[in-house]
Amino acid sequence: MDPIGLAIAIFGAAISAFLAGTGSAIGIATAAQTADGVLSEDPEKFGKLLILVALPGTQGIYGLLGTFLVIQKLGLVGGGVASLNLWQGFQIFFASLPVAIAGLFSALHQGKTCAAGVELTAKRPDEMMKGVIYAAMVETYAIFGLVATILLLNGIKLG
Amino acid sequence: MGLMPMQKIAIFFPRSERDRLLALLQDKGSVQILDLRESPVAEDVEVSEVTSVEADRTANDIRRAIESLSEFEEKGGILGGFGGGKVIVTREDFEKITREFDYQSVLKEVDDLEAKRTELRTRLTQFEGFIARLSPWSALDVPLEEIAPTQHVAVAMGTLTGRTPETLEIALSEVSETYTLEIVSHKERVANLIIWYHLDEREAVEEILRRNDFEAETFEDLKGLPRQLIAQTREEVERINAELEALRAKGQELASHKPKLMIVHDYFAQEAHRVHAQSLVGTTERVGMIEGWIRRHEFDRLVKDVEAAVESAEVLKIEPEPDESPPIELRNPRIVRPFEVITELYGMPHAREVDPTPLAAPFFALFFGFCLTDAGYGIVLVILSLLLMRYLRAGHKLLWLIFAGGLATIFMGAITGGWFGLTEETVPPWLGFVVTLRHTLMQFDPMKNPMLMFGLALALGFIQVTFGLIVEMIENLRARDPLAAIFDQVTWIVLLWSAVLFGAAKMGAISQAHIPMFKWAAIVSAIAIIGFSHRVGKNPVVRLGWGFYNLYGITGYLGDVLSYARLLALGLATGGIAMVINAVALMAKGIPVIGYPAMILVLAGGHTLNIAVNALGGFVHSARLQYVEFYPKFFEGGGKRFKPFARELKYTTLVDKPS
Repeated sequence: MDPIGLAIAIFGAAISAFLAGTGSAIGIATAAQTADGVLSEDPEKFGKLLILVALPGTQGIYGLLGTFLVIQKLGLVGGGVASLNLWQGFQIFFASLPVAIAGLFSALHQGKTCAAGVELTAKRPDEMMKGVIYAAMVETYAIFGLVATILLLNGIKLG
Repeated sequence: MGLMPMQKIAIFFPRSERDRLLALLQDKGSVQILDLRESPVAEDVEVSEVTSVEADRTANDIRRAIESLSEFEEKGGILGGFGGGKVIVTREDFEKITREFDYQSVLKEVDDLEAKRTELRTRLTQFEGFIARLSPWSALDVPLEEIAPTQHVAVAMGTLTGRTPETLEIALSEVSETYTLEIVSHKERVANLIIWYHLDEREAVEEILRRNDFEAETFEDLKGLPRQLIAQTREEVERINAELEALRAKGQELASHKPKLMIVHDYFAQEAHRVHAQSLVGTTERVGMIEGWIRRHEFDRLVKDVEAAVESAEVLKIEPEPDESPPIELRNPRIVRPFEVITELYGMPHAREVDPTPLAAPFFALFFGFCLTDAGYGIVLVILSLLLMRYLRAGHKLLWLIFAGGLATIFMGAITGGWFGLTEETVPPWLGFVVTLRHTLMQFDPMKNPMLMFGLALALGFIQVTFGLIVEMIENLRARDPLAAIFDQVTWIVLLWSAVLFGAAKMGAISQAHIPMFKWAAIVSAIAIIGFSHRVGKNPVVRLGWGFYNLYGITGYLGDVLSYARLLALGLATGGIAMVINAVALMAKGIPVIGYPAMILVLAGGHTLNIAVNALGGFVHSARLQYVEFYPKFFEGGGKRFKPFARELKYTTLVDKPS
């Protein structure tokens, strides 16, 4: 067992929650600031806008899931840490990158899309779901990042 | 299944009966009235434009009062924003309240209250500004009126920022021998000073002050010690605050009228709506006319209603204009109806195509379940949607949709072993039956075998994409265009399936006996696409060029199917996060003293949030799969929604029986 390998694997686990979570935080902030502006005119819209504001939060969740899958793979909770060599550590690290990076950028841009959706909802409240659907288009690529991470992690064999 | 058949109608009636007829139509809510100015009869009738409506103004006044009263209400927490806060009222009570409730005096009281509050608030701001201005001088022991120039002595009172009084003194001592400087207060970088100096030195001193950015302050009309003035003003502020508090109590008292105001608002809003509809009525000297659309099966009823209520009125069926298409309403069996939300969100079908809702419904429900894959969450959604329907007293389509999605979630959760993310390790012993249940129903564990889940998601996608092609093929056959059916759809269905089966056989997933058949079917259909998918124009080179380009469209199908991989990720995300929540809750249990409450808090909060986020995600992404991957295969859309002229209630829900 190589302690550096384990460290690198944990770096991978950490970075997926870290980058995707950062993206979500910024994305939500972007949407929330626009929503606050709308609420200053019309506080009744809180419930409707909440959905658009919360939407860029999912990437952070995908990142957390990426972290969790690595933790599970390594057996970090409940003792029995898997033994892995340096290269396996790198494999897990690289496998974590799709959800981390796709999650980061998808959340940043989904935040902007959601902010536009908030403006749409301010003017035409009935069309809110259309804004949500467009924002979901941006989310697709974070989801694909997660798919890639899941499949890659599944493919890594730890002896 | 399909679209509601519509009938175009015209109603003729004596001009004097206009308002009675409009009231009847609004009450029945079955006719969509057309704008006569867009009709060919426009030249023969007069259409009067209604611009200003008294009822509109009343409704607006009431709405403003309702909004200002909302401020005084005890808030029902953050969740208050979700319910919509409608008043549930019976028809009888609605009419009784609109007749008897003296809304005008309430409006006046609210207006007075608001005016007083605004005035008090303005004064409050002024006083607070005054205190802020005076408080740096509160240490002054001289009454303000005594800080005044005399025959020989001038005085400057003011603030020095950024520089110390000492530097000012050094500068002053260079030009003046007689000045005195008193530091009233000095805090950090701000000093408040009074400087006395001889009038003869005025110019020099003022020049020094200017250069040191001394900001002069004057309290010309004020008398007395600053701290006394401050104390007096504070008392004023207290008094105003007390008054505001009293007004607040008064407002809370008035807020009890809010439900009644909401009812009266809706009454006037309806009236305004009806008066506005007058501009849709065409009139001649004696006769008025309306053109509109009605659901075909409601026609006879309307004839009866109109003839009973309005004397010598007549309802006629008329033919639509050649280029006119009827407004669209979806008509589905009850079980499919909730899914109409999906199509309505996307856009209505045009009058000559099928309603895609029943075709999308089973996929949508299954995909939604796939995105949650937790039977426990499914049960929560089912119960929650039923409770909400009870609470709102309306079987809202969206709630039924959540209900259906909940059922699918229970199914998907059961076969993948998702029960609130519990695993053998995290199940407490007294919940042992959950483990047994889980094992009996579970077919596979997506956490341990994500490839199977991945394959399942793509297979569902492949099925839906080819299903979309089959639908379009049938539409082409019905439109008597067999060539399009064969070369635009059949070829693709054969190509896609034979390619997939070929791959599956190669990998040994199915019998290898038919490999040559799959191969040749794929080749033949590909050639057919190249040769016949572009059927206009005679130039064979252009035709083949387009053919190749169309064959390249296979990458589009590949992308479509891969897009369904999201189902895997969303499903695993729900289950994975549920497991994380349970793990954190177990850790919380270990905290001394507050262990169990902390655990319960983590479980309740965490799972609630997880359900909310993933139900939203499940809805949005299942809808997206319909919109982007499925509908475009066969669906054009572009229809206009049927919007009958009816009561539109903003704040109230009318029910027949009292609760």
